[in-house]
Amino acid sequence: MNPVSEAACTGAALFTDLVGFTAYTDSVGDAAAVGLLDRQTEIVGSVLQRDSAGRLVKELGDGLMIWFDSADAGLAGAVELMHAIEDARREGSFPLAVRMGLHHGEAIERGDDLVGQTINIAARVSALAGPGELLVSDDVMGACARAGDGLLASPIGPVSVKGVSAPVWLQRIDVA
Amino acid sequence: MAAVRISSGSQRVHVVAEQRDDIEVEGDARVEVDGLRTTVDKARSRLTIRVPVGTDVVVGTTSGRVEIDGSIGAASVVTESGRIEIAEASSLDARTTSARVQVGAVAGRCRVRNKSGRVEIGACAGADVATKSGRIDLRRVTGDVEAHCVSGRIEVRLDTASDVDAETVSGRISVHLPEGCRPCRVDGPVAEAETPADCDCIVRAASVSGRVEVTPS
Repeated sequence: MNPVSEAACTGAALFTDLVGFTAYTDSVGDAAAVGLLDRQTEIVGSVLQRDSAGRLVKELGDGLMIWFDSADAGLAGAVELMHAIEDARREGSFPLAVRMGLHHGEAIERGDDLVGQTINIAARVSALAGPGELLVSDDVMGACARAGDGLLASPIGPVSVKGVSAPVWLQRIDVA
Repeated sequence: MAAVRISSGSQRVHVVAEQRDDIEVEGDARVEVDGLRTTVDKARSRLTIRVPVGTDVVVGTTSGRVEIDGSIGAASVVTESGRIEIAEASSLDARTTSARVQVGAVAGRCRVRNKSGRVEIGACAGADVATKSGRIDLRRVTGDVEAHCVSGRIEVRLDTASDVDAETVSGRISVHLPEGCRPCRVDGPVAEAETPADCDCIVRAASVSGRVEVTPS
């Protein structure tokens, strides 16, 4: 068995989730649902292609995990991705809203994957977002050199994450 | 404007907005003051926090109940299962998994995210509420409404002609418009629609299997 390479890195983890994907699959069938996932991959690919600081780590059912080299890149990438999806929704080529959560910190590279509390927290942040919302932790805003550039953020509150002793304070980014 | 940030696990948080200039914390917790911002965390007992009227309040608990009396500024509350009760706020963002959310009056817009808890708002200037199975009950609304629910019932009572976008899968939808209001019903996104000259507002009330009622129609 080949050993899996492991190395620590610092950056921002973005989790996305399609709101209502199960109900959508139930109403349109598996083939159309797969088509929607393909469309999502296409949109994400075009956004990440423009921004080399981000990479798609893995697909998690209808959700995605994306890693960015920095908090600034993560915030900019998440906003750009939300805009791209909302544009596609307006055009009628993407029927579902997406929720997103972003957290900044360290993670361990394990082959092509990433593991660690930063990843766990980002997943929890994403779960609290509503349709079309991007939530970020205070750690993201604190690590951003350009956090205030043209973005409006409002406080959401502290949330507890299983296995994490301190609460994680969240903000909602106005991506309109 | 002063702001208070409060973090508690299972301990109940009671915020009282009253005529005063300072912030007082009753209970066992760590208190940090940074300019106009006060942070209260590591609660080891039930907390009562007295704040000046109009203070912005941010609260998070795991299962602790959150109760806010008096009139505060912007309210942001997140809890997994603690019940949320707010008397009066200038705006609201509340997120919970299973807690009941009960709000008296909000001068601005409300944004509520819930899975299974019921959401009741006595008065607001617009709302964006999404639940999975929790019932949504919005009264005396004077602004645009977005209400999305899978299986719970949605009831919206408008005081002024405003756009409504209400959607359920199986829950019943009731939209009560003000007397004499002339709505235009649409099937597509309300945000994309333009209000025709002979209509006062746009209403989309869509349910896969639930009964839909818009009065007057």
